[in-house]
Amino acid sequence: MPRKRTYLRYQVYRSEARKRAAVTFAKLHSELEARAIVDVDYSKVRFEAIDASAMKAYEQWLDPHFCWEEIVRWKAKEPMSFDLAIWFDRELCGLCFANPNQSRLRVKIVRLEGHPNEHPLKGRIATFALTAVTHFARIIGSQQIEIQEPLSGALPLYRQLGFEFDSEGRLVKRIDQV
Amino acid sequence: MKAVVEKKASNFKSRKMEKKQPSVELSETEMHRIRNALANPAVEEPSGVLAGSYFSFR
Repeated sequence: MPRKRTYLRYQVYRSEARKRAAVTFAKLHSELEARAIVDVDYSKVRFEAIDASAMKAYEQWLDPHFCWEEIVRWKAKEPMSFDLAIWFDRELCGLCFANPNQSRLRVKIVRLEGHPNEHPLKGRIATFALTAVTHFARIIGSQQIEIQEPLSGALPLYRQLGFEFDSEGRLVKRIDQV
Repeated sequence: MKAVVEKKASNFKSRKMEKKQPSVELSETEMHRIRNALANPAVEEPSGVLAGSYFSFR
């Protein structure tokens, strides 16, 4: 029963984090548009759960790296986890799965993958995903986000987003308190 | 006595509400980072996998 309650409570947190991410990018879109430095309509970006629609769209990806069907099982086993499907209009552009540790002080990004081929959000999946995870981490009161096994080619981008390696070699970012 | 208890209960409730409602906004530092990453990404993001492993939950 407590597990069920936790799942429902975190369902609200997950949903809220996705909503806040959408609001953040709507705000940024207006700012960047005003400065004429926007090339994508961020208002078409949607932050959703990894659900049946996401899985259907994922099946169309050519040669994906991870088997995201597993996530459906993981979600059931990890009631506090955060799953994210990043869409541009009706196109699935990225998938992310993160999980807080037992104390909830650290949220670990377990998997992050963008559409392997051309898509409208190419080059920005990490930024969208990490923003949504940051909202989730703030909602649940975490102090840190960790990226598990980051791809070396994306490290400069992770650094740009505030991540650094700690003394134990983990790529982490502290959550700013507002 | 009843009034004191009610007041305490209402204070507890409001403290609890405050604790459960963190600020919606990200910090300005955070927004600045995101803005920069969107406008001038430090590196061309590789296609496909960006992080993770074949780790599995038992």
